[in-house]
Amino acid sequence: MQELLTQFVTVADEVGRLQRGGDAECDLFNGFCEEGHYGGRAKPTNTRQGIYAIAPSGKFLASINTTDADRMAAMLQQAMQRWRELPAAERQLDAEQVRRLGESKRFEDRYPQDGLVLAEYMRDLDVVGDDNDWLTRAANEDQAWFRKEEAASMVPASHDVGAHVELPSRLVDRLVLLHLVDSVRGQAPSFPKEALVEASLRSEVTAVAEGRVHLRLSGKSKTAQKGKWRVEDRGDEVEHGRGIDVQFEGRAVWHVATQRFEAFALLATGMRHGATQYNQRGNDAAPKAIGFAFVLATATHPRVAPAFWWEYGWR
Amino acid sequence: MLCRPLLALLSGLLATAQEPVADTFAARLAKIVPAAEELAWRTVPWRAELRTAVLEASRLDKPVLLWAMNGHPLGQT
Repeated sequence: MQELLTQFVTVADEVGRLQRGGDAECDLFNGFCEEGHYGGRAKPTNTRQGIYAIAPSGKFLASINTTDADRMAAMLQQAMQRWRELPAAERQLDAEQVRRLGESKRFEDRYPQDGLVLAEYMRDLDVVGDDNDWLTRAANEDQAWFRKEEAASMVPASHDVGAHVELPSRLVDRLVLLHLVDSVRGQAPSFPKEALVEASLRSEVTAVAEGRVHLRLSGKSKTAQKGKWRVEDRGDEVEHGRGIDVQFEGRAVWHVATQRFEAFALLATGMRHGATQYNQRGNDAAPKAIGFAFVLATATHPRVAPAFWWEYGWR
Repeated sequence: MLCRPLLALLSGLLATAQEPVADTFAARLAKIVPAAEELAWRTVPWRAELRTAVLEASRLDKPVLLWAMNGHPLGQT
């Protein structure tokens, strides 16, 4: 499998935007996905998720949606056979496609290179169960982005030990509503503003040394939402509730000269309750322990937009 | 991608004079951040955007393998 994969340029991407968007990248995807395994399908959903092999021109080679290694390998071999048979003139992008792709826009273009990017991880805590069961080991991730001025607002104006600042509510609310969401087993919607019961996050100077300000982060948040929605894939919308109730604790190191965080780790641990359509909590909606960890993204961490990027309101 | 060996370094950087490296905060963090073996699939060099992959493949005269999911496979799915 590894050898087969080296013959391709491998890429992962989000299918919803590719299906529904209108730029050159989305046009390219829509130009081949209907030839794939879900071509023409409208029910139970119209998703075109899966694994596609294509020529750079967008010419379809093969596709599949499976976790079976043998079937995957067979698809890759079929794709390579079709690639070898494809005339050179049909392989490459033309100049107009190159130009349009170069002009396509994504939220990733707004990656805050000079700000703060936190890799987020979430999973159930205190789980007792079969380690071979994916539900026991389930975890998910996201990333939280902060612009340069947003990152700087997390540092008290005074660098004296004991100085502190309450983080701006717009940042804390964004973190809570968009990132403290129970997507451990599958994606759940962000919380609406009305679901915010409380949210606070304080940064306090604990030490200053060698041009670096050491900070302790603390706070809490609670969300609670009631309404009608589906919990299983199908069926009627009925009354449900969901929410997250956590305490924050964290550590960070601010480098004064560069105005950047050199280290950042924030924990949000507490209780979750409720279920949504795709988060696989239908039989596990009672209050249970959950944990979220936010750590400084490394230089090699994938540059992927936050799950609810359109709610950041960045222009 | 951050994994637990890196977390050990991180916790050292974050520790203050009053807190030993192996504090409970670092231990709680390590319970949530994935271990290296959970991220083995990332040894495949997945690019994160179709547009950049297609342009690169065109230059290299290679086909593209696209993994497209509801929710970004390298982010939240």
